[in-house]
Amino acid sequence: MAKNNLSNQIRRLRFENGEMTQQQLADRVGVTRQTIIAIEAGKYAPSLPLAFRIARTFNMPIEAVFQYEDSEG
Amino acid sequence: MNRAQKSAWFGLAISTLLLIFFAPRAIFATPGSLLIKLLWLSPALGFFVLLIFLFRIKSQDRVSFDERDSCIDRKALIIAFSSTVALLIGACMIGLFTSEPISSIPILLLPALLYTLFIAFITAYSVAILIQYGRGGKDGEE
Repeated sequence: MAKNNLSNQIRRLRFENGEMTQQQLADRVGVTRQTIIAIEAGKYAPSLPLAFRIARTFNMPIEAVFQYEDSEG
Repeated sequence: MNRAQKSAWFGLAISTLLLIFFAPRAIFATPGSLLIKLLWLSPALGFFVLLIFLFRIKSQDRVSFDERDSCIDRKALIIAFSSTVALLIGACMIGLFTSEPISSIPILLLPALLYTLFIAFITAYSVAILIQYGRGGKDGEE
């Protein structure tokens, strides 16, 4: 059975963008801080519009923020 | 802990209280017909519904409900609805297999069944919400 893995660079990008807090990022993209925490931890896969909003906040292409691996598990 | 989690804890607490204290007292201790006993429960039920709506009021200053909360809420509703239907089917099956095929039950038991299903729905919904959010303690703010 295929196992889907979605990793992200949000934590690193936050620190590279003036040590942005999770709350500041949450306010910019219009979600709660808990959602940012869940996305960073890989516990929640964001919707495509939210993923784009996060990427645009960092002025990065979406594939530079989110990486998808399709591995057999 | 966000609004949905607080609401879920509140729902769990109140449904437990209703189940432990109010229901047995109303059904066994209050004199009168079963209908009067069930009416005795209505203030507690009304109070509960009122507080649920009060908890649902959104704060205007910051986002308090987003797509993840919506997803969790939808899953919890499906779980709660499925559990309630399963309980109803179970109750009907028990009645079917423990009684004579053409036996009857007092019609006043139906509101009691609805009341029990309501409490079961709130309990299942609250537990599903809390399990999906996890412990919700240390969030790891950086």
